[in-house]
Amino acid sequence: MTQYIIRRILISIPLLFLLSLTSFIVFQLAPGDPIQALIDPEEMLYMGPHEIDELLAQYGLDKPVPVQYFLWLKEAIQGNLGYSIQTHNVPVLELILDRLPPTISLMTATVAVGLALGLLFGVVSALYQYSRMDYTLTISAFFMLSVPEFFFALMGMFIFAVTLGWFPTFGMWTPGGETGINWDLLHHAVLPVFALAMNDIAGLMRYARASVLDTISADFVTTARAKGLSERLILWKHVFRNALIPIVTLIGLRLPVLFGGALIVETIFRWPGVGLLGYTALLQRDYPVIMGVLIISSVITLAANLLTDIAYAWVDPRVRHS
Amino acid sequence: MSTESQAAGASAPQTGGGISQAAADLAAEEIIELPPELSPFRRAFRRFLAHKLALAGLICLIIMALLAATQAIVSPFDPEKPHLFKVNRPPDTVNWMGTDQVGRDVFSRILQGARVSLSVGIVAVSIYVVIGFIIGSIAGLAGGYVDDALMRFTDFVMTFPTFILIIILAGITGPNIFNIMVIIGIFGWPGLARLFRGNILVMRELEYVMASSALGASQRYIIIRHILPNIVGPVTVAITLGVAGAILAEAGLSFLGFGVTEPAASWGSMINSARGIAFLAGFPWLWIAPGAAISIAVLSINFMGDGLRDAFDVRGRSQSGE
Repeated sequence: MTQYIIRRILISIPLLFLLSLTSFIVFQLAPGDPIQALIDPEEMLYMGPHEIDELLAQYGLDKPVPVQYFLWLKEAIQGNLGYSIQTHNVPVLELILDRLPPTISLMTATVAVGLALGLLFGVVSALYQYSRMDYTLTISAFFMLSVPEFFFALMGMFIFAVTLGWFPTFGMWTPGGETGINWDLLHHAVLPVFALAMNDIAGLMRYARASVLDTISADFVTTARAKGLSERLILWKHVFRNALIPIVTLIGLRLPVLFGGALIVETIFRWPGVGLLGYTALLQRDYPVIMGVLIISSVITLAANLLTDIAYAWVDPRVRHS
Repeated sequence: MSTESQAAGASAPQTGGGISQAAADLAAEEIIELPPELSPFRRAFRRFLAHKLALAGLICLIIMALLAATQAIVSPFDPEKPHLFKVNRPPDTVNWMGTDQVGRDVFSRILQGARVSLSVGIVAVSIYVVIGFIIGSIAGLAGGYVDDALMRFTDFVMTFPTFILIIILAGITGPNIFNIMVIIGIFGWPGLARLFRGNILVMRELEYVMASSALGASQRYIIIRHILPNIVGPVTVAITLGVAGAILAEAGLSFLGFGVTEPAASWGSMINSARGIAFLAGFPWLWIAPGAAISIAVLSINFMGDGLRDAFDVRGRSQSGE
């Protein structure tokens, strides 16, 4: 097991390197040079080309691009992702770390809701295959996969917040109220979490249904039946364990998609997370912040993939020995 | 290869002659039940037509495409021309879906948006089918280090929070429909690359492919004659679902304001311009109409994808292939 973990971590290192390279290249594509962004345009009028060159040299921007990359990488590894242009030179990392808890709680809640409802619906649908319930759930899954999350979000807002008034429309807490993990937060979270979770519920449900159906007809289940085990024991010990555990790995694969969805949902509900930060930074062309958001969300995705892989290897010995 | 099919045809009556007459009659009856002249594609086509939801999806899409193509005839209003005397009108008999903030006919704009969505979907997916085919077939045919490197890279792209990167690139390169097509196209290929590679690896080991290569067929001939026709099924399914995904991605980008911009209409940007809580509650047709259009288009395509999956029996094939 330790060997598997070490191997898996070693594989992640070149991925991280590639990731940083991609981010850097995207950064290079951005129009305008950093000096223009850094200096007051009025001040720039009084500066000769010589002074600008000096500034470029001071920031290492006169060096060839590959050298710039390694200089940047050295700083980035030490946690220095640069400074925000718009918010008066606050370190990017600080800005992002501030916004990370809302996003992580939104995504965790979404995954939890998606897993709970997705697996439940999938199992029900498989156990009562071809029943009316199965058809209803399967068709609903198509709807949930086809309707974009922002439309779900707007409909939820329109129906449950504006018309019925059951839930608040914006933010994480009532303004002026207490913050922290409380009922108010839960109340605010219901609409964004469900808008974001629809896709996961449907996706996981379809996998769970197919997986349970596959397992139920497997030989070892027939053997268990032949041994005279109770149906309940067969389902819980033999079918669900084998059918549902592989679905754990799917969560790692869904995370990259979830980050995109979270960005959209955060902008709709003004959920003060990394997505909203990245969105406003894009509108303001605050490139260091944008790159920071990209890097942090990629690193989290990679880390989550690593964790799901390890978790999978832990529950399924066949994986770590292959 | 004609000699192969002749050999297969000749061997059947021979084995039939070996057994008793009754068995031969039985075999003959079975053959009559399954018309032998039906090619695999005809059979898939029939199965597709039997899939009611897929057929409904196909009809829905054809209607949408026709309406989009004949927008100028179907609707008397210019989708981009403001009418300041009739702003924010609810749906009536003249403007079937009402008018927007500057008095443009929402129905005409929905039809214009259909053009944008369908063309982005098709172009973006065409781009990534080509990339996926090239990377997947190189990896599958070359094997060894090349395969390893390409597949690691594919995994990397898959673990990347692609939508965030797409948003950032669209934000940096500027909102423009061609940029959107290319950007969505560049990041969509990993699934297809794996599909091509996996199928090539499996098919290279098949006996008739080995026989063909033993007879001196070139690799190009083998790919075109033997491998490609066998991947058509799964690839068609992947392309169909890919178009749905690309339409959703475009809608998400335009919704955030990084896609198609005024005065041109796209479903996502129409919702974007009707996002404020006042619009949400006061003029719901402005966002319900485009939201419903996206959902119906994507749902139709997903139903078609499901029908194609059944028609080509993709699930069974891919499971034995993986």
